[in-house]
Amino acid sequence: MKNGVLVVDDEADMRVLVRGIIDRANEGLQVVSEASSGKEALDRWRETKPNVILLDHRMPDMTGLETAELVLAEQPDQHIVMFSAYLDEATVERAFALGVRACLDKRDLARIPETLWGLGAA
Amino acid sequence: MGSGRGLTARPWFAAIAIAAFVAAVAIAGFALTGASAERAAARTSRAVAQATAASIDARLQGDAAWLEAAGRSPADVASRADPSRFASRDGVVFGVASEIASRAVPLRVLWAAGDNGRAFAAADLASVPAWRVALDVARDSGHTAIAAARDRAGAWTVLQLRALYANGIVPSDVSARRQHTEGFVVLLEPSASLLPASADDSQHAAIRVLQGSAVLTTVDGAAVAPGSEATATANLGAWTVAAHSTAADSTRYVVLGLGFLLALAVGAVVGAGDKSRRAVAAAAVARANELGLVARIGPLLQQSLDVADLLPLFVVEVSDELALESSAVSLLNPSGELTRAFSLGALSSASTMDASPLVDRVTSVAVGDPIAIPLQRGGRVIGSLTAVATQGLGASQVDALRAACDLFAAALGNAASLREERDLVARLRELDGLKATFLGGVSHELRTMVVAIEGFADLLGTTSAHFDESQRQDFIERIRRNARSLGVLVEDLLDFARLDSAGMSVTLSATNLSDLVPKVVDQMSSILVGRHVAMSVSPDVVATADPAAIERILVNLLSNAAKYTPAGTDVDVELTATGTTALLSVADHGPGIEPAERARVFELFYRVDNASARAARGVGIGLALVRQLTDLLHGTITADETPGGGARFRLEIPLVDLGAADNDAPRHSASSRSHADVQAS
Repeated sequence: MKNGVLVVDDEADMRVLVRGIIDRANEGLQVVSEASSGKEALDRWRETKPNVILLDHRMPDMTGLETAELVLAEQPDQHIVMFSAYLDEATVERAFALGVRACLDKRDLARIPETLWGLGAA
Repeated sequence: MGSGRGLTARPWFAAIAIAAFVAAVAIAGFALTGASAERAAARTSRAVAQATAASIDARLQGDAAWLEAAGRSPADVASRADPSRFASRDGVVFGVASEIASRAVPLRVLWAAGDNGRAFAAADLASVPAWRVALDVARDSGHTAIAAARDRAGAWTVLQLRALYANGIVPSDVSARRQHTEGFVVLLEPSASLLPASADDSQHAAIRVLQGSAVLTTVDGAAVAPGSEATATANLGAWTVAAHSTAADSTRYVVLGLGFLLALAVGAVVGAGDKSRRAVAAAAVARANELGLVARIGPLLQQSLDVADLLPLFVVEVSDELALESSAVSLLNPSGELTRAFSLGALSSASTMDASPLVDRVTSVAVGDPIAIPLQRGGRVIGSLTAVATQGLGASQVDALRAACDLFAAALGNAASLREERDLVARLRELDGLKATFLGGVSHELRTMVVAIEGFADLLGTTSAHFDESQRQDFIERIRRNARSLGVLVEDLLDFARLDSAGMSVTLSATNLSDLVPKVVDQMSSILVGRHVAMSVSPDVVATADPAAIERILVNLLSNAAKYTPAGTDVDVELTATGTTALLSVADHGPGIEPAERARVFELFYRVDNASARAARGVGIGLALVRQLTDLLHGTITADETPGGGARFRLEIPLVDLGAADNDAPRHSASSRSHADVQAS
C-alpha cells in the first residue's frame, strides 16, 4: 500500500511539478488527490484520507497554516509538510508549533520524496 | 478702557477746581492783608497820637518855663523878656496884663508875630470865661495856667499866662497871692500852632486836638473815620490828641487782583494741560488698541494651521475691533483668479472690489467707505480683504489693519505649506509601503517561475520511462510559459528601472493595428492557457503609434487578464476605429475593479486590494508602464467594467491622418518624465 499524498497548491504548474517529482521517485509514494485552495484541500482530505498532505503556504483564500490548523484540530497526528517560495522564521516556528511535520522551500522541491519517506518511516 | 475716565472725563473740572482754590487763597490773602493793614494802621495812629501829645506837652512846658523866667514885675518883663523864641510861631502875641478894679484885665501887647497883635491889643482877657478861669488859676497857684477858647472871630486861641506878684516873690498862700498880684505875663497863639507843620505827610495820619469834644485844631483835617483812632493826653489831661491813619492801603487789593488773575491763569493752564493730556491719553489709548489688535491677531492665528479655521478667526476679530461690515476674504486660486473664500455679514458693493486693483496707499477711510487691503506674502499677492468701514478708519488704524493682514497672509502661507508637506509625507509613506509590497511580490514571482522552469527541465532530464510523450510535451509547454512570463516580468522591471533614470521613448509611425493585435495575442497564448480569447478586430485600423509600445501595452493587459481571471473564462480583445481614434479594449470576466480604484490602478506599485489580488502574481508596475507608454503615444487608457462583470481596459490612440503629407515618416516622441511624474499622472 503506497503512501497517499494530497498536493495542495493554487498554481497548476506547481501541482504538476510536484506530482511529476513524486511519480518519478516512485518509492511507495503516490499522489492521490490535488487541491488548489484550502477549502478544496479539506474536502479532498476527508475524501481520500492521504497519509501526507503537501501544503503550499501562500494561497488566496486560506493560507497553508490556516488549513493545517484546521486539519490538525480534527486529526492531530495527520502528517503535513508545508512548502512555500519564501518561508520566514516566524511562519516556520508557528507551523511546527501547530504540528506540521516539516517545512520545505520551493527551491528544494527535489527533496520532497526523501522528506516524505522520512515521515513514513517514523 | 476705564483708566482714562474719572477726573479727565469732565473737561474743565480740574481747571475750575484749581482756579477756585487759587481764588480762595487770594481772598484769604486779601482778608489777612486787610486785617494786618488795620492793625498796622492802628499802631501808626497810636504812635502818631502819642508823639503829637508828647510834642505838645514839651512845647507847653517849654513855654511855661520861659514864662517863669520872663520877669518878676510887669516893668521887668517889658524890659527884659526876649520873645525871639516865638519868632517862628505864626500869630503868637506876647504881652502883660494887669487887673483893674473892675476886674477887667486888658492886655498890653509887647510883641506879636504876624498881624495878630492889633486884634488883641487892649483885649480884655477877663471877658472870655475860660480865660477868666485861667487868670484865677494862675493867680491862685502861682504857676502857669493854660486855657483854650474861641475868640470873637470864632478861632481857637490858646492862652498861657503866669501871675506876677509884688516884689517878685510868690506868696505862700492863696489869699496872699490874691492880695499881692500885680499883673500877668501872657502868651496868646492860635491853636494851630500846637501841632507841627502838616507838610510832613510821611505819617499818613489825620490828627485832631480835642478839648472834650471840641476840636481845637486838626492836621489833614478830613473827616476822620472811626476805628483806627488812638488818643493821647496833653496838657495834663485837659486835651486829647486823636490820630487816624489815612494810609491808603491798596496792597490788599493788589493781592486780591493778582490772586484772581493768577487763578484765571492757572485755570487756563491746567485746563489746557488737561485738554492736551486728554488728547495724548486718547491717542495713546487708540494706539494701544491698534497694537492690541495686532498683538491679539498673532496668537489667534497660531491656534490653527487649517485655512478653514483661520479665515473666520481673522475676519471676525478684525471686523469687531475696527467696526467693519460686509467683510470678506478672497484668495487666489491655482488659475490665478481671486475667488471669495469667506465672508461675514451681508455682501454689499464690496463684492465688486474683487475686480478692482487693490489700492495699497490708502491712508484713511471716511465713515461708510469701502476698503480693500491686499494679502501679500513674499511680495506676491495671494488674496485680499474687503470690507466697509462703518465708523471710518484713521491713519494708524489703517496701519494696524495692514499689519494684521500681513500676519494673516503669513499664516495662510504657513497653512498652505503645511498642507503640502502633509500631502507629500502621506504620499511618501504610501510609496514606501508600496515598495515593500513590490519587493515581496517580485521575490515571490521570480522564485515561482524559476522553480517551475528548473523543476520541469529537471523532470525532462530524467529517463523517459516515467513520463510519456504527452507529459513531456506538457512539461515543455509549461517551461515555455513560465519563461515567457518571466520575460514579461523582467521587461517590466527593466522598464521600471528606466522610469527612474533616463525615461522611455517611442518612435511614432503608421502602425497597422489590425495586423499587430492578433500576432501579439497569439504570442501570449501560452500565458493565456485555459482562457479563451474572443477577438474582434476591425480591418485596416492604422494608427500613429510605435509597434513595440503597442505590443508591450497589449502584453501587459493580457498578462493582467490571465492573472486575474479564473481558467475557463473568456478574455475579450476588441479593436475598432471611430472618427479619428483607434480603440483597443481588453476585457476579462474576473472580479473586476472597484469604481474608486479604477483611476488608481495605473499608479506605480498600486495593486487592487482584494483577496484574489493579494495572492495573485504581479508586482504593480505593468499598468503604470501601460499608462506611461500611452502618454507617449498621445493616447488615453481607462479602466472600467466589462458588461456582466470584470475589468475592461480601453486604449485610445489617434488614427493616422491620411491627408498629411509625411504620415509615413517616423516621428519620435520622448518622455523625460521621472518616476515621480508617472506616479502623479
